[in-house]
Amino acid sequence: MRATAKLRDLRSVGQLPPRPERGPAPVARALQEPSSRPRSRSPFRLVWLLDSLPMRAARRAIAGALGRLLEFAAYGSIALVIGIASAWYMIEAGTRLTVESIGPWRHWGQAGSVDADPYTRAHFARAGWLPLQASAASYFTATRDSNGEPLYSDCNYILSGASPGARRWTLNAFDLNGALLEAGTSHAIISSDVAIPDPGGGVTISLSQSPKPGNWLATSGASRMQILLTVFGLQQTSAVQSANTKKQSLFRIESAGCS
Amino acid sequence: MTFVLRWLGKLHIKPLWLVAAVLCGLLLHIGLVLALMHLWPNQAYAALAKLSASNQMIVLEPVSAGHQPLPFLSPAERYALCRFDLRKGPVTINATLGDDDWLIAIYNPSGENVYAISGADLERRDVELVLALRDNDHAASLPIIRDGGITTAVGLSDRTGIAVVEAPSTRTAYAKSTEKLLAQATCVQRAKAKTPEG
Repeated sequence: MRATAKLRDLRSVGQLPPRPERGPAPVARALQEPSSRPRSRSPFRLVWLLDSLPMRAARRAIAGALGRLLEFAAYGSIALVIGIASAWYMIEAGTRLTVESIGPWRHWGQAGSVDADPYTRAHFARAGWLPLQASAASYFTATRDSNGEPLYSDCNYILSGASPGARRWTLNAFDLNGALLEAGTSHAIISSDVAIPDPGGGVTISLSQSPKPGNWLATSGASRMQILLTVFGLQQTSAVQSANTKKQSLFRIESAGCS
Repeated sequence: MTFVLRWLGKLHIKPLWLVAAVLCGLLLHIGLVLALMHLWPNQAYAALAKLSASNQMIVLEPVSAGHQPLPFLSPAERYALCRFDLRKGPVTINATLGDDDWLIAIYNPSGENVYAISGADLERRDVELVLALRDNDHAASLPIIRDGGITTAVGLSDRTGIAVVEAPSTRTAYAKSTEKLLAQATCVQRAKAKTPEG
């Protein structure tokens, strides 16, 4: 008590700094401050709540789970893209395993066969096409000319080459879904029955919307198109002849400008 | 290899997860191809179902851009089609093939050509095909002897399918006889299988 009185005397003469005003301790003050604000309306309350230890742990767990989920989704997307894109490509376009390329022509070797591979079966099933088995007919389709440019129905093309060495062949122009392009005229077909041979023994065929002299296959519209060459009885000829027909005797397709 | 792994590490890509994703993609590829092979096949069969009842031969109009019931049908051919159903017994296809380029083709519901015969393969132009299930009692009595020749028996593993008689249409001089011969083609349910003795 005596010491306290002495301190009070020293302060009164100015030899000691005045005693600070009494109040709550800093930590207690920090805890009290938020409570002095309206509890439900202040965003600081929410920040404080979110910053509390249990919430931090919860946030960390949620962020971790979301991260794993995103990671899983990313790798899942890679799997989906690989699965769908490769299946679509092998069914729609085919690979060397299923399709033989001869110049601009593509030939699904097992078309129509009961023993066909799944890609060939899916390709023809998707198209809704009823192909004959290889012993009866072979199908060659071209969606590009001999220079690799896509075929368009409003452009002119010249097909030339030796007549396929088979019993009979036909040539038609379809859109990419297999619908015939030309309506109403008798020039929607060229076949070995009606094709006029060149003096040299080959065949030259014009594909265009406007009439052409000689062998003319009429087209219409202005879209991508494909040409289908159907060769009947190809495998009834000798193996060598059949191979030669495939390798050499299929028509070249040259562009002759667009209308 | 180390470089690739380091590069993947920089992109925060886990190599094992990537390998797993590729493997899953390949499994998905196989599943999709097999599923599509079995889910897609009935387009042609379903399209023909709209045109006629089963076991009935119909002659299609000359194919043109406006009259093309199936994709890739050629206007260079005339077609007679029968959607056959073997659930009540064998079905007989009768047709007269005009020349070497005519043919008869039998398809299963998946669109696979299980049987084809052309005029060039035959000595006779009149063809009778008896379509029967391979595991059916009716098939046991095949081939069947017919007056003047032997009917060809075709054993099938599917109960339904499509029979197509195909004739060249580009020989305009034969247009009328082609139309007539196609109209004469029949596709009928066989009431009772004949035996060689009977």
